[in-house]
Amino acid sequence: MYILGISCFYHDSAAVLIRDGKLIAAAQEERFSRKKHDDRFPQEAINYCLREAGIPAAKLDSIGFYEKPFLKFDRILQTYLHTAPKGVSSFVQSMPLWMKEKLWMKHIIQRSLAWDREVVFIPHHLAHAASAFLVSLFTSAAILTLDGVGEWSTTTKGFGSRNSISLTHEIRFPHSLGLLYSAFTFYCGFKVNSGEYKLMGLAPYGKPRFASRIWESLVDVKADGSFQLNMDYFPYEYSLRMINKRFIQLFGNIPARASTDPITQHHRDVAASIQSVLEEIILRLTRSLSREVKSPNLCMAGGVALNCVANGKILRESPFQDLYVQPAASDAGGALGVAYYIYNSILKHPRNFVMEHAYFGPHFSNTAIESFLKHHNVPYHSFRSQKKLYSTVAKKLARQRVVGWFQGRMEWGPRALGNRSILADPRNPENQKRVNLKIKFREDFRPFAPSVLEEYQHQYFKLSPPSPFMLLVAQVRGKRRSIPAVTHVDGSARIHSVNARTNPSFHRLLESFRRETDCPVLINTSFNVRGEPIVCTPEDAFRCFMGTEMDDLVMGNYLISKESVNVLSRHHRYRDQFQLD
Amino acid sequence: MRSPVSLFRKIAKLFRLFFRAVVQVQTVIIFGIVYYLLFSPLAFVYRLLHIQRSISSKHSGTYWTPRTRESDQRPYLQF
Repeated sequence: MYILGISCFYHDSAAVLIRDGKLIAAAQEERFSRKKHDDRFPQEAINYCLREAGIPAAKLDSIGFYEKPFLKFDRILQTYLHTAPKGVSSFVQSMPLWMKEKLWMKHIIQRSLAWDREVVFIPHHLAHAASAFLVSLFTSAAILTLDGVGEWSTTTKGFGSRNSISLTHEIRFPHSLGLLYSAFTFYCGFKVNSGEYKLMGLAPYGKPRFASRIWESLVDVKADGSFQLNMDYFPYEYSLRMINKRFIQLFGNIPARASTDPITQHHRDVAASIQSVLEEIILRLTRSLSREVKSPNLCMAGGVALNCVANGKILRESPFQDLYVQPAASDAGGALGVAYYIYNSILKHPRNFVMEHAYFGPHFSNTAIESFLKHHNVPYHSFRSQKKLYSTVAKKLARQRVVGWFQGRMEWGPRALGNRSILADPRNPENQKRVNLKIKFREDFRPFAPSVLEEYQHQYFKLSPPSPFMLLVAQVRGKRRSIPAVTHVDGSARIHSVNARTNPSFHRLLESFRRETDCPVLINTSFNVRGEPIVCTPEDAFRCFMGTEMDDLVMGNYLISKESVNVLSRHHRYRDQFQLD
Repeated sequence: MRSPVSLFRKIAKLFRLFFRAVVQVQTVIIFGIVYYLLFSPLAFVYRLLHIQRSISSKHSGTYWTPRTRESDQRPYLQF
């Protein structure tokens, strides 16, 4: 039985295909269209999923969509009624889109896939909940979903047991933790729905001196963590702006930072303040949820669940003993959620899949990679022995070279987890600046994540459970001085633990690096430049390699060194092709 | 010398851009009229009703509200 899940038309559109409950393929449209956070109908991602399964669309048994468009439209209309006549500009911009495509979702799916049967629509937050619980290893768990907004809900809680999910309570728009965080993202000069993780990375540089102001004026939080925002400060109900003059006055009349302006201590402190408020609210929510649902396990989903600093805090300070967040926890994950909800909860098949890794994207064979290299006259070194390849790359990394690493299936979700990664030596503090400024072309304050051999994780980090999806932040142990390039200013790191079962290739590379240097950790950042989606194909990888100051590129069994490639074929100003995020 | 085909393409492109701009302006005007003539009066009535409702509703110690389950009568449709 084949089930296709689709999410689109807000941000991060995606498609997922499952066969008899096993995940066959999952990918975001942006990886194919090369447009970051692409929200268009995921035609190319769907085509990829069908190719991977080797079936035409006619062979699908069911298709699901991750939200209910008419309910969402109801919310939008009611919000305009509630705020008229202030919302004219937003109304004029959004209504044509709704009339033209968003209300015709069923027909768009049916037309695009030549599908004449019904399409299943489930509520947005139910899709989020299903995306976490139904692929987790828990038989039962408490569930918390937090994002910007779905139809009406912005936050839901409930529980899952075997193959059923019950979301019992909700907090409704406009009161939203995701939108509260996005408002501050905007204020600090980052892009909404894209730069939230930068705000999180900026927070440790500041002091939360505005936290009390946020508690007093912007958000009212009850003891159980439920909250309401003071909408006098947020105009997003009726306009395309996230904050108003009153919000700016609250923060000392200092205007919102433009993306090109320098970051000041004021912005760092604001970032630290909202991060601390967010963490406290989430902790209250999880504590009260654990009293209601007698389970030691928690599943979280929604864009806010990608806040890995808060996730780390939940593990340390909430009563829950185990936490599961799947790698594409934001809207893209809705495609996964609806597919599994159909299979497990509607059709009532028992659960038979646990998402232990994120490698569900396209794969390119050595033959395909070699034919690409030959076709473009790229000089390369081919390795017959994998062992030799790993030891050569480990030696290069130890010699402070930066390596593009392209292996196996592309990752599902926003994090590069060792298959489409840029790697460097974490022992050298200079590597953080070098990779940020000369390779990623991004802000120099942004930290890099460490990939660590799972068996050595506890020696380097204060974190017991593995973190295979890079969604947990923990403190670096005393050995922090030995890996400065991946240690943030507050002594923390966003950990990616690597085990031999789920990613043998990357594990062997880390093991070779450990043998070479006695350090089982590497800098791991996504294989892209600022504003570019993570690379998908060998061609994307080679273009990115040539457009940056990466030293070596490894694709499959082939090694390409920058010195050996004709400089004339370099893509100068490669980064200019992408809109900054 | 430019071929007539390339000249024609350029003119066609200019026309397309021009009509796209005209359509956009038209859309703004039409939806603007709908907003002010239909929406705003409706909104006035809606808000009167809403004020009535919000006066009668009280918050206890929580902002959580019970969530209605996916209806069994109209399951899994668009609304």
